[in-house]
Amino acid sequence: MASINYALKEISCKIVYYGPGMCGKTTNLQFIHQHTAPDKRGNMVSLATPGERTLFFDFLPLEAAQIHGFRTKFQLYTVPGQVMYNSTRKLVLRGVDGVIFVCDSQWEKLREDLESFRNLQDNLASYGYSLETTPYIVQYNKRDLTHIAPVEYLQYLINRRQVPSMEAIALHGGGVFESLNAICVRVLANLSRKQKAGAA
Amino acid sequence: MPRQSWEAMRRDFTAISGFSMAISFVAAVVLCLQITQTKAAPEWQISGATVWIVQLAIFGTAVYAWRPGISLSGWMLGILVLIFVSLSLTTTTSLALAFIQGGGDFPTAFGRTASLGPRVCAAFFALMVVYPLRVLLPIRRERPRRRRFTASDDAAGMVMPGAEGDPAVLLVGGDEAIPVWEPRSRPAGGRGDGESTSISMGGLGLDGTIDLPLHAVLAQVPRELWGGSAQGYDPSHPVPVPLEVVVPQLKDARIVVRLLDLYDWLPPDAVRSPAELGDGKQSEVVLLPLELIVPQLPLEVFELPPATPPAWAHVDENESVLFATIPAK
Repeated sequence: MASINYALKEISCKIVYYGPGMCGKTTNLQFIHQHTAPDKRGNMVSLATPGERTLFFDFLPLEAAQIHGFRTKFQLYTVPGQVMYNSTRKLVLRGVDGVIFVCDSQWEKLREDLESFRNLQDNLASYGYSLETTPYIVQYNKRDLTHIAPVEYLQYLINRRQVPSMEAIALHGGGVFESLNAICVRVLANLSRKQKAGAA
Repeated sequence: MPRQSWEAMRRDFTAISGFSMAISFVAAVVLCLQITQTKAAPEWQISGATVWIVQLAIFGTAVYAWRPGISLSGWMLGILVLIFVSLSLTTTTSLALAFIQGGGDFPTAFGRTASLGPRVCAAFFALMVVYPLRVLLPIRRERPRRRRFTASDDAAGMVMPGAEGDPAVLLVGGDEAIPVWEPRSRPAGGRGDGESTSISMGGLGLDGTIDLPLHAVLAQVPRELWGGSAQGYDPSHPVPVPLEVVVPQLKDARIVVRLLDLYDWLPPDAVRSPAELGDGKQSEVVLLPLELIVPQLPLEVFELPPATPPAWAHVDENESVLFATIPAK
């Protein structure tokens, strides 16, 4: 859950990059880390294997523009995509404010995309969350590769709710900040909506 | 009993289990002796048959509670072992009593241990003695659940060699196994005669076929199931796959057909005939290449019905959150 510190005038939100193994979640975070002004970001913490597989999770604190006098801070997390690390994925999802679901566009990865998306729904449900109430967007990554499925089919598979989606090439930064901005806007809007509903 | 199960059960039965059994047995004999030698309280008027029935009921319940899913033979074996141990305890107590009384006759001693007090004591301790043996009682055999995903190459590639992870969570397996298309009717004349029907979705109906090149289909069939003519055909020979097979499976990101059904669509002798295959191979499933199927389908197939976006999806795009970025080097 987002935390609002009225004394420090600070809003802190948790964004999780979710998706199957090797789909580009860490690459997204690395690009954001490399292309964000140093005074606006913290250190990126990454625990990975020598084979560049995320072992636990990646973490990147990020500061965005002020909104209505409040400093907005985003904590970006990734989950380990490998099937066997479900407990870790579940743990990372606790208190999530928004999710970027990263799809691998390659044909041979579609099944894993689908299973990972179902796993996201299951893990959210274990905390009493759902995709109806948790903002998320879908990022179709690796669009620069040749052996990829058309976006129409990816939408048909993954994005039946027709939430915002974008194509990306995380390795070169295409669509990375667009995805981040899209989810952050929705997370803040959702937070604002909840605050208003709470005040009313 | 399968050797592996027996080995697993033996691992559960440790030296400590054996030691606790021995201690319980000795304690039971001592206590039974004590009870037998105490001034006998007036015996309750309970018939021997009633005592046996109650004892059997207690033993039966205990064995069932100890080993959920126990087989009938295992349950009966457990009860028999308990009775045997219980009788062994009373017999040993009788022998000990006869010995203590300086050569007193065994039948008299046995008569004294057969009273209610020592019997209850023996039955109670029999439960304690046999408890460690419960792991050796056979349980019901259940059909192993197939877990396709773990056996697949995809899954193998996803698990780091030597990595210790959470207890494995299988995203697909068991009941979630791949649904295989069930034919409504066989496509008439679809024996690879080259007369492939053009796609006619007819308002997104499921009539018609799409063509896949023979080499792409055969690549998915195990080599040992190829027929004698498999390599004699032109690799691009069209294999007509009915849309009624394809379209319902698109949402699962994989198109699976049974080898038996595929046989009808392939040219003659491309794969071995169902008669040659045997029952086991007939039900084998074949994964059709999705990347060759999807591009042949009209985009309307993937059109989603209008959905009501969740409440959080409504935002003013002008209020974008701007991150402080630095230009790429």
